[in-house]
Amino acid sequence: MTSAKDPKRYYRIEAREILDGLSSELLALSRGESRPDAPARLFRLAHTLKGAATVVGEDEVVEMARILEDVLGAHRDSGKALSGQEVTEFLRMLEGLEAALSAASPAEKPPQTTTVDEPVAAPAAESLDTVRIDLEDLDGVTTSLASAELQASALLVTLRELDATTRSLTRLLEQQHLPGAERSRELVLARADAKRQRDSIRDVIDRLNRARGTALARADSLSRGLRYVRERVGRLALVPAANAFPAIERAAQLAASSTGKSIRLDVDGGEVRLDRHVLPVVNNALLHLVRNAVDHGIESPGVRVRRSKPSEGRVTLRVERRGSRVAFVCEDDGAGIDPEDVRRLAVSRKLMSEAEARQLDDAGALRLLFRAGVSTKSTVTDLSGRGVGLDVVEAAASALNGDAVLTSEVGSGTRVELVVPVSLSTATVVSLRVEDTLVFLPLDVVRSVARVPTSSFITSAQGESILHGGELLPVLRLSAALGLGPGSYRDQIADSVALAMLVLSVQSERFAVIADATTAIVDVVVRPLPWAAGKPLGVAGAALDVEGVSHLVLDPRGLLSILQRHAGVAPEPAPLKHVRRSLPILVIDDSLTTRMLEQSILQTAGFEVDVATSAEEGLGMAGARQYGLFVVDVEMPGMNGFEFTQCTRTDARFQHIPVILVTSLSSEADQQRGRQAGAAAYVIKGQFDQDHFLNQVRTLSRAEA
Amino acid sequence: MRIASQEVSFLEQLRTEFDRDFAKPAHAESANLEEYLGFSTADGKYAVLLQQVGAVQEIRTVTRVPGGRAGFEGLATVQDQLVAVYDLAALIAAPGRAGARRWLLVCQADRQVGFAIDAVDGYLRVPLGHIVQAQSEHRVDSIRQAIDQQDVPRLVVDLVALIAAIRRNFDLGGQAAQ
Repeated sequence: MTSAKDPKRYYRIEAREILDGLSSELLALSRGESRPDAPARLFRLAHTLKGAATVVGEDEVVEMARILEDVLGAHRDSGKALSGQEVTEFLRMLEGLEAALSAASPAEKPPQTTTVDEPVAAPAAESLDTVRIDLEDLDGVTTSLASAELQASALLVTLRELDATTRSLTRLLEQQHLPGAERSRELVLARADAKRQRDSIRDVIDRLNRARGTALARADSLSRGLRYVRERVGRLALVPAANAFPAIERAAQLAASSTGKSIRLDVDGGEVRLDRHVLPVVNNALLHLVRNAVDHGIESPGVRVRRSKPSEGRVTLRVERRGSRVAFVCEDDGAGIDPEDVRRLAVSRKLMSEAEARQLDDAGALRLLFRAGVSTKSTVTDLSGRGVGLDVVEAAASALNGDAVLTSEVGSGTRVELVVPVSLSTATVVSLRVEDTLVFLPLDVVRSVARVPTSSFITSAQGESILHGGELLPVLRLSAALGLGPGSYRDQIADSVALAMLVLSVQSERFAVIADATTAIVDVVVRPLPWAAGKPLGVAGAALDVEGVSHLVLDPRGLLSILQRHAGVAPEPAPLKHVRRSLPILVIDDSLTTRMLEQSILQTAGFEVDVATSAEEGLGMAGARQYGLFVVDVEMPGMNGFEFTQCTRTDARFQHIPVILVTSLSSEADQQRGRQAGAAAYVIKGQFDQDHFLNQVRTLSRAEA
Repeated sequence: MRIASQEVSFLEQLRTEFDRDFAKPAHAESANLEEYLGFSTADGKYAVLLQQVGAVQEIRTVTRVPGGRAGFEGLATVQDQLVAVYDLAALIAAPGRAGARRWLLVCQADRQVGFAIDAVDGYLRVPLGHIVQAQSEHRVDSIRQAIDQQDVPRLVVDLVALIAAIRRNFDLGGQAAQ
């Protein structure tokens, strides 16, 4: 971008540095550091800002800078230190200046430069041994280098093809027969002539081979050199995490003063560098996190003292590099969050039923806080408590293909971890063949890869799943999810072709994606899709191969969304050979484990199975579909299994459908009660025998059929 | 270095001739001509103003992309840049067959969008008098004119209007663009 097109570009750079300087000075004062020269330094900064803003006609900034200048000038002249209230007011004013600066930025393009060999976050002045580089220029260089790298790789491919050509030529030459030893002069001459020609061709092949070898070595060196330069340039384009700290520190201090709390914010890891497109998204999330920590987490000084804690609350923000990812960890030593409160809140907001809430483990309950509108804060403040905050963190994780995890201990504090990739532009990917298309899947979410026979998939109303390593994983077929056609699924069933299964871990969820084959692991430069291609769910962008052909780069979080949104993405499965044409079985159990186990056993045996999590839900489902058998737990919240059995025995619609009770209640009295209720069989979980259970199911469902 | 006086006068003469040539009005014949690229697609003959064309490239591979926007075929690469490929015939609702599109027209104004066509017919210089209003049955936002030079008039496709229609469609979240 040129300055002619963007006349305020340099103003923004300068203003950014001034605001960082003001912020750093004010925060030091707010921490109680003694800085006798602070009013003079702050005055100079305010004065410079006023001058810069005047030049570009930023009147709002001019006015705010003038107010700062007036107050600070008086302090500078009188030698009187700034009061705590004044520091807080100035910090608040900085927020307004930040907003004005953002408004002066072109849409979606925050001004950023990187300074090579510059101390992190130092208010920079040009010096003799540093250069300012426009990050947009660096982006352009990276893209050009990636293109050149592709060309070099394509050259390597061509030279290798040439190798095959010369080898074919050599073989042809060897197969050529010279005329045999003849006495006639003509044939002797012809033989000598042919031999000369063959020697000449051999000589040409030798020279071709030597030239090819040299060219190959040079192209290889060129390719590696370009890759090295691209990676180095890519690293130059990273910005330090510390760039985000001043605004975060201000937000924490302002939150503390607004709520009358006393806090100490420790930040660490500012030297960690990451993509300039990543940092603004993370920055917004961190602001909300820190405000939430102060407003929701840290108790008031009085409460803290009563709980034998120091009156000053502690919030820590740590940045850590973890391979190709960066973790932002925000911890507080506040009140913590009770998962039970979150469950109650979810039910009261009608996000789920009581039964569903009870099924959530504590981690699952805390994960609900990442959903929009969920906040345990009972009162709305200016800062938080509107259910906004953690959903912003989740949105940032989602936008960056990252992960957000919250852990908390009641009375001790809360920890939120946001993990994002260092760079959005380069990625190590697994190349997958899906139908006749290659797609790339980021390697960092892949936990394992296996070849699986098509017969190992289990199909239910919720979609497909597969048992892998003792775990029942939901399955997403990429061909269907990406609209590449239901493809040859049925043919594969018939041919028993093994498919590639990749187990992914995304947002604490594990699921399997299915492709036809994995082909390679490669590093790619991820490019955004052209606007006219839309923003298809499950696609993060595209990357070019050495032939210059584009391939989609998949977005794992998008794939998870597709899986969750359409539990039945998989094509209608072809009936397995041993599937009996009996009516489906309805399994009713509030325990996820039992439900999945029974479903898995029955489906593996060829039965079609639906599941319900409560007797009430089961009754509803039974009214909507014809079943051949009910397999029912006894102890469930709401209507129990005995009551369900009695209810169905007295309902003309269901009384012909046998009920098997599967329960941990083993007393004779309970078994008697089951029989009296009308159960056809009673299975005790502690004595569960799979073969016996299946025999009972087969007998009863056959009798029904 | 010194320059001899005759060299100075020669340079002066060159400069004068150069300036005079520039000062001349455009050739009368060129002024009355428009330049087009003629092409065929879906059994129809069309043309596009040459100045609207940023690149013409034979289509090698189009990568399919999820989503079902009308006319959207997928992604192609033109000069190492990703281009969203739209079937031009589908966008203008051309009545002919859905043939094998072999060429890609990339719009000069927005090189992120390319239009797939069947064949490139060639460069056309058309006298202004042969450019007429398209007949009403053909007339849409992106087709307002036709070249009436041969037996069958060639409809003139406005690539910029097509792109605007695609953009509008994105804004509306709809499926068709015309």
